[in-house]
Amino acid sequence: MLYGKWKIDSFSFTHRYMIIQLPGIFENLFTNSDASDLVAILDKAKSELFTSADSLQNFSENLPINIYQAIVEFAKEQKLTLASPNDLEIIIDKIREEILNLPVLNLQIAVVPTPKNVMNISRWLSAQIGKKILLTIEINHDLVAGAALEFEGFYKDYTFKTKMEDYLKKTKLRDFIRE
Amino acid sequence: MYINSYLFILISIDVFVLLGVLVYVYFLYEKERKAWSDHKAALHASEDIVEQAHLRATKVVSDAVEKAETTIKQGDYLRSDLMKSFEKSLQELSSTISVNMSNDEKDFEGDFAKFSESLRAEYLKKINVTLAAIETQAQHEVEVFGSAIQKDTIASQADLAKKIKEESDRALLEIQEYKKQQLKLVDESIEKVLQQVSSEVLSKSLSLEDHEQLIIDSLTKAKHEAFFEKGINVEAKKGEV
Repeated sequence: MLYGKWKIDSFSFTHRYMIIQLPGIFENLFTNSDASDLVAILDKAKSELFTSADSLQNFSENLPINIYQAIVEFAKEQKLTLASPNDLEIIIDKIREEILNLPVLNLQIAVVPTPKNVMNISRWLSAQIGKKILLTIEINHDLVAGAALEFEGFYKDYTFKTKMEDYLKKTKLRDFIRE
Repeated sequence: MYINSYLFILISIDVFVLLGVLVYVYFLYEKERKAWSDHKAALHASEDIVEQAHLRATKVVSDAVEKAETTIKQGDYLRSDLMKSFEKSLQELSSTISVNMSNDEKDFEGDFAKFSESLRAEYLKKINVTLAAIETQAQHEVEVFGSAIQKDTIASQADLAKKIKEESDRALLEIQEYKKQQLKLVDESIEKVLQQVSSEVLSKSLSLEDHEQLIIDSLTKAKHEAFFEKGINVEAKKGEV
């Protein structure tokens, strides 16, 4: 969906390109759960935009600093003003849409990772693949090591469980016994 | 006077002939009675033979069943012993083998292959001893069965002997079949144990950093195999349409 739009929606492409280049938005987004949390924060901020005279001040205070800075930069690029609740609403909607459109990679792994492990994997992925991909992580201790991946309807198993099974199958243990 | 003497002689002759006939009839009757008695005795004897043969046949068959059960139990023990001893040896081996997990997945796979080979070599040593024991036992059983059948059926009727032979052959076949199944189970169990122990040892040998690196190695492979581009291609095609 993201890449299909490249050819038919140049504004969308530019917009996306700008967002992707703003590290502040995605820097601390590693998992699908992180993304949901951020969307909830944005929704809350958006709902409070028109509630009082101090809403614009509250807006900057209620948002995480990196998100707010990213919004400021994005507003500058798009020639929008932070003084207008309507402009802010547009910005929030765009960011929200962007987050919800991020591709998700389902990782099945053997151990419970630390937050640092998740961060390292996510950053490596973004750097190597060249786009932001969110992670969902499933733990299955039987997998031993490695990972099974599920991405946009495709599945690939690189776990050691499968490798061991293949190895034992390939070496024909039963024939070996009979020899 | 003369006539009376003549009549007396005739009557005497008749009486003598009659007596002769009576003696002959009695002789025939006795002969028939003896024949009937002999026949009855023979009938009893044959019934006894059949009864004895039946008892022997029942015993041979029950022996065969008993032996089959014993063999089956021994097979279970052997399998259970084999698995216990194999698991124990693997545990010992796993504690002594140093699996130096490298950060390079290729080396890691090499380590696993080496580790697996060591386990298999150890397994082979154990299984050879056990298989030899099973083979010897089976051979011995066949010989014992053969001589038991010959001994127990030599005095019996041929068809009875044939029946007993068939029964015992069937029991032997069942034993052989059971052994095949047991060996198959042993093979499957060995693979399972090998996999379980390997998994356990590998899991314990890996730190969280190793796991992280192996996950990144998996992602690198996926990247080289254009796994992440498949989705793009699919979407691009949709866009073109």
